[in-house]
Amino acid sequence: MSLLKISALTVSGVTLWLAPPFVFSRKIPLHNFLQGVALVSGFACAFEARRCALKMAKTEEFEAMKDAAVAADVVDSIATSAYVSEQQRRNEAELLIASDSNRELLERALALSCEDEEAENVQLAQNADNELRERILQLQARGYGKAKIILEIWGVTKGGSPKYKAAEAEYKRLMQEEGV
Amino acid sequence: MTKAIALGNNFLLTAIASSFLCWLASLHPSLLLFVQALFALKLIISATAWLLDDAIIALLGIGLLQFRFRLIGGTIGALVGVGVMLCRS
Repeated sequence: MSLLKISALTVSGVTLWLAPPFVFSRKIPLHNFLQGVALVSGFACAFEARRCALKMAKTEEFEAMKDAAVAADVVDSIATSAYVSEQQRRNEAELLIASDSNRELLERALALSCEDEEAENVQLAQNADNELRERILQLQARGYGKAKIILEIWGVTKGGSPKYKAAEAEYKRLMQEEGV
Repeated sequence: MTKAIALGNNFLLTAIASSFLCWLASLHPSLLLFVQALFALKLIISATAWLLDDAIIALLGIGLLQFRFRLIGGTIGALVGVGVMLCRS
C-alpha cells in the first residue's frame, strides 16, 4: 500500500511537472497561472513521495535487522540444543562405560565368592568324610563287622536294597581313601 | 527499491524547482534577473563544492562518491528543469 502510494505520488509529480508546459499556452494568463499551480503541486507530490520512500526504507532496514536477529536466535538455539544433546549423549555413554566396568567388577567378585563357596563345600564334605571314617575306625576297633557298621552309621540292614548298596559303596569309598 | 525511488524523487524535486524558477522568470523581467542570479549562485556554489569536496564531505559526514553523485545529480536536474521550460510552447 505504501509502495503504491509512493509510486502514485511520483507519477503525479512527473505528470504535473511535464504535462502543463506542453499542454497549456504561456501567452494565456490562466494557462500560465495553472502551470505555476501544477509545478507547485508536482513539487509537493515529489516531496511527499520522497518522504514516504525514506520512511519505508528505514522500516525495511529495521525489518531486515529484526529478521537477521530472529534468524541468529534460531541458529543459536539450534546450535545450543545440538550441543546439549551431544553432551547428554556423551554423559550417558560415559555412565554406561562406568556401569560396564562396575559390572565387570561385580562379575569378578561373584566368581571369586563362588570359588570360595566351592572350596568351603569341599572342605565340609571332607570334614564329614573324616568324621564318618573316624566313626568307622572306632567301630572296627570295637570289633564290628561291615554289616553292623553300616547298620550303626547309615541305619540300613544288610540286603539287596538300593539304600544298603549306596551305603556299602560309601563305606568302601571311605575305606579305600583311608587305604584300609 | 525504496531508496532508489527516494533518489529519483530527489532528482525530480530539483528539476521541478528549477522549472518553477524558470516559470517565475517568465512572469516579469526583474524576476528573470533574480532567477538568473540564483542560477549563477548555484553554479558558483557547485563549483566551490566540487573544489572543496574533501572539507565538505568531512563536514557533512558522507562519502566522496555520494557527494559527487549528489552534486552531479543536482546539476543535471537543474539543467533538465530549465530545458523543459525552454522547450515549452
